[in-house]
Amino acid sequence: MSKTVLITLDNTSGDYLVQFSKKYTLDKNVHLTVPRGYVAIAFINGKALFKQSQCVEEKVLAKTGKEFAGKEIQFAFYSPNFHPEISYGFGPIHVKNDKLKETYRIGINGKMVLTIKDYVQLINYFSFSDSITVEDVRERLLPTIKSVGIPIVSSLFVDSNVSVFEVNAMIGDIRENMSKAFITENALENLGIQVDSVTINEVYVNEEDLELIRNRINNSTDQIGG
Amino acid sequence: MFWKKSNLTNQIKLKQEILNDINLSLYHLEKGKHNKALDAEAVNSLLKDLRSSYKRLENSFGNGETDISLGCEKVRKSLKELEQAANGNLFGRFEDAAVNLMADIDEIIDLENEVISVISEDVDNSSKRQKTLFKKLGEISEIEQIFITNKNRVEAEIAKLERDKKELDSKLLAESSPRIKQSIFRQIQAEIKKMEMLQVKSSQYASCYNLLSSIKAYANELIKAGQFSETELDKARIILDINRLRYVLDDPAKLEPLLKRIAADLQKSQKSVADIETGIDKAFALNKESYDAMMEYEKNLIDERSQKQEISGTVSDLEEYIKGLNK
Repeated sequence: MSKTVLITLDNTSGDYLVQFSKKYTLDKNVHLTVPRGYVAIAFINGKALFKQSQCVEEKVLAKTGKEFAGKEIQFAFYSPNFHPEISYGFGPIHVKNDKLKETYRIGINGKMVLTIKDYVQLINYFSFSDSITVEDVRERLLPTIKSVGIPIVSSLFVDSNVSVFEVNAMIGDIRENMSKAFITENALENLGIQVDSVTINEVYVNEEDLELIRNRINNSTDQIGG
Repeated sequence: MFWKKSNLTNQIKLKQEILNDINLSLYHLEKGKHNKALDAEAVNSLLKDLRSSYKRLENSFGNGETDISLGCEKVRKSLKELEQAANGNLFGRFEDAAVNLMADIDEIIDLENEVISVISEDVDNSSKRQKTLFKKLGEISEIEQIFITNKNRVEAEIAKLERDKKELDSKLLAESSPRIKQSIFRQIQAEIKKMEMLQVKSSQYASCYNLLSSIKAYANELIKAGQFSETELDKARIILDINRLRYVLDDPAKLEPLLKRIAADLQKSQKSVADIETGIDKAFALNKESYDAMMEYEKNLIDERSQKQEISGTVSDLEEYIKGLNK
């Protein structure tokens, strides 16, 4: 009697967005188990053909039909309700505010919550049959976040009346503008990803620049007083 | 050894076929194969959304047991409407067709993602006679489509001739040799003649299209009204004489009796509608009389009460009043 082959998910940690099973030749012995809260996409000869939600030791050939017997099958497991959170940071951004006669360097860091709208698109974007981690997605997104975020932050600081000592007052505006920009960002759409929310932990100013501005202000105050 | 193909194989085939159909239509439209009277920028913006819907459909999968055949039928119907609207010159029609198509594509995606359990079927309460007449109406749409395609083709041809003529005009102005100038002029005259001839054909196609379009709209209403009246269905049957309509291009005069019949019918309907409206107005006038009487009574009542309130008051008010009189 031939041995039963059971395909299932090995790792349910939150680090993975997509996990691929090994490749198997489809025959009557191949069975599939999909844990609760997960979905498995079946790839037959590298082409996504159907998906399967929670099941226990289901005979795959019964589902596909005999015409797929002997073909190579592989499953990609994902959790549709998983919203990965990625941290980001970018800088230094050189700010020259003519209104306040200040030049300084700033940086931003925060977090983003994502929704994967199209898992097949995400899989196609990465090399096929390699599992995709949250870190992989973060690495792909960081250049985009930087290229979208820097112009937004620069323009907000240049036109503002907020002094270098009160930069955190700009957090609300930065967050709002970044959220709007990410909704229409093509790079995210190409990955099948949508940004759910953007948070900003901190707007930091380069210490040296801050010190220089502080000294300049103090000196000018002394001169007026003296 | 032979066995019945699995549901999965059938569903994959259906999906692939519908994807191919959508892709082909979108490809043609993206390449600018639509009526040039439509705003290209607005059309492209809609096509972008449609392409995005197409990609989502391409990346969506069912569990192998979902039946998307009804969804495919609906998408195919909407696709046909989109193609027809793309040949027309009304952007609103094109937009409606695009939105319908996107909604139908979304329905398949939602079915595959188990958001809905079944694709809603369009409720069809029409009788057998109505169905036959609707089929005939579909045939008119096809004839109509031929006219609009021909009109667009001729228009494109005229545009090319206009471009050539413009080029020849410039050449004529730049040329100094009278012999070559003469030759260019002859060429220009030939181009003008061709344009005039094509212009006549274009107007002929356009007027035939407009004529059929009006007849179709009227017949469509008659068939729909046929649910309540068999007479309306009889009228629609007479109007939808496909053989007569098909040869409208050869001899539009053939349609004259038909148009007269429609005009007479419309006049009759207009009269009966006017009669009904007069009746309603009369009935309303009676109601209005009683309503006015009620309003008058209510007004008098309010006046009476306010007078009483003016007279009434406390003893101190009365004293104040007497004081005022003494002064």
